Formats: sequence, C-alpha cells, structure tokens
Amino acid sequence: MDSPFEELAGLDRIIHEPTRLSILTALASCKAADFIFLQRLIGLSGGNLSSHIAKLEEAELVRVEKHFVEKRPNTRIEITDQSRKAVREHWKKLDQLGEKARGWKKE
Amino acid sequence: MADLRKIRFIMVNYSRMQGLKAVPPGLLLFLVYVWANAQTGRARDLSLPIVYLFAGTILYVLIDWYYRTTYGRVEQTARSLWTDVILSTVFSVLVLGVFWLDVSLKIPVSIFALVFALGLLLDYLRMVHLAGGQSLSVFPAALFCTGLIALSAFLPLAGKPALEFIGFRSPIFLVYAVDGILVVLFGLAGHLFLVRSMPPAGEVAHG
Repeated sequence: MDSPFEELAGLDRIIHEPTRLSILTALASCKAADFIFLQRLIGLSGGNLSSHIAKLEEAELVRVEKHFVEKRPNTRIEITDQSRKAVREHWKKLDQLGEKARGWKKE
Repeated sequence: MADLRKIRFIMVNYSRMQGLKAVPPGLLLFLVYVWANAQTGRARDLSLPIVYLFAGTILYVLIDWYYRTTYGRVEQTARSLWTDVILSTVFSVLVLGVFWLDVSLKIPVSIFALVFALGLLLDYLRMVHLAGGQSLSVFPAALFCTGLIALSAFLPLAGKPALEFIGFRSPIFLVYAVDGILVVLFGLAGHLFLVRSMPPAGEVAHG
C-alpha cells in the first residue's frame, strides 16, 4: 500500500493546483458559469484566469464557448462529465488523506 | 483566493445572494401598505400603487442587468432549477393563503409574518445544505432578519394606542410595512455578503 506521501505525490497535478481546484469545484456545482463570474469568485486577473482555463481546456476538463450576449462578448465555461467525476474523486482522496494524517503520531 | 466553503455556498446560491433584487418587492410591500394606511373608506384611485408596481418592475430589470454584467452568470443544473421553481410556487401560494387568513381572521398575531419567516428559515437551511455546509453561520445576517420578521408577527400585541401613536390605523398594515423594510434590509445584507465574497479581481500566483 502507498504511503500518504506517495499518495499525495500521485494526485493529478492539473486538478490539484489550488486555483484550478477552486475553478473545478465551483464549476462542479452548476451547469456552467461565465468568465466574469469565475474571475470575481476566485479573485483572479483576466490573464491569470485565462491561462488556468486554457490548461483545463487542454486537459479536456472544461469546455469553453465564446459568443455574444446582449452585444457583449461572453465566455461560457462548462465542466465535462469526466471532470465532474474526477473532481469528486479528487476530493474523496484528499478527505481520505486528511483522515490518515490525523492518525499520525509524533516520533 | 476565497475559501472553498464560501465558493461552494455562492455557486449553489448565487441567484439567492443577489440581494438587491429583494429591494423592489420589499419597497413595494412597504409603500403599498403605507398608501393603504392613508386611505379612508374604500380606495377608488389605484394609480399610485400601479406607479409603484411599474417603477418596481423597471428597478428589478435594471438590478438584474447590473448583476449579469458586474458579477456574471451561472447556469443552474436542470434539477436545481426545477426544485427552485416548485418550491417558490408552493411558497407563493402558501403566502397568499396566509395573507387571506390574516385579513379574515383578525387575530392579534400575523400568520403571514410567521409563515414568511419560517419559509425564509427553511430556504436558508436548504442553502447551507446545498453547499454541503455543517455550520449555519455562513450568512448570519439572513438568520437575524428572519428572526426580526418572525418577531414582527407579534407587533399587533402592542395595542391600538401604540399603533395610533406611530400613525397606523390597522395592526396588519404595520406588520406588512415593517416586513417590507425587513425584506429590503435582508436584500441589502445579501448584496453586501456577495460584494465582500466576490471583490474585483486581484492577482494570485500561477500554478
């Protein structure tokens, strides 16, 4: 069986990075959200959020659609089914690791 | 970066956190009952309440536009949307029913205010439950306003001289006008919570 440290190291880095985990966790609880909403919710600059979204899109964890709403450009971001499942599994693993860590004793 | 508990709370309750949307109905409730209180005999000219309704609708549309352009949009899942539609329909019918009871029974406690407060409390519990929270203190201002609305149900017990002293000829008018103000305060608290939870974008380190 893997040690907790090996398990931690084995977590998916694309998902595990804190900002991307926040984005995915947020998207997992709705159908879709737009760029402005995520930017304000997570507290990122436009460029920073774009770069994280691009990484998630590249990994096929989110789908991005650009269109016009009321004559304004709007970017809609939707989590994929595979990603929704992956986020759930990721949180489950983190909770399990947290439980194990609580059992550690001082040497 | 905001904490994940708050992120999840806002995600699943974003439409409810748009507190300014509660201001037009709250003001409408207040103004209509202040207007009704000022009427002597049967009201024949309804132009003022109609103006209030029209102005309230325009204000609501503008507030909706403000939230969409400033804070963005979230699409709820079909299941969550349908649950919201069913619950708000049931709640509206119930509120209309108890309003009728309040008007016809003339008991010294407002059933409308009690049911309204109970509805708000259940909605808040659902908000916390949907966010997977175990603590009720995510948005304490909501619980405080709900408590005040429940207390407002007992205002008629102050007695007729007290009511006349503050210029209300019917206890029901007073309860509804006070509830209107409390709905506005509830909305403003929700808006402040949203503003504090979703500040303009800053920088965090790249991962």
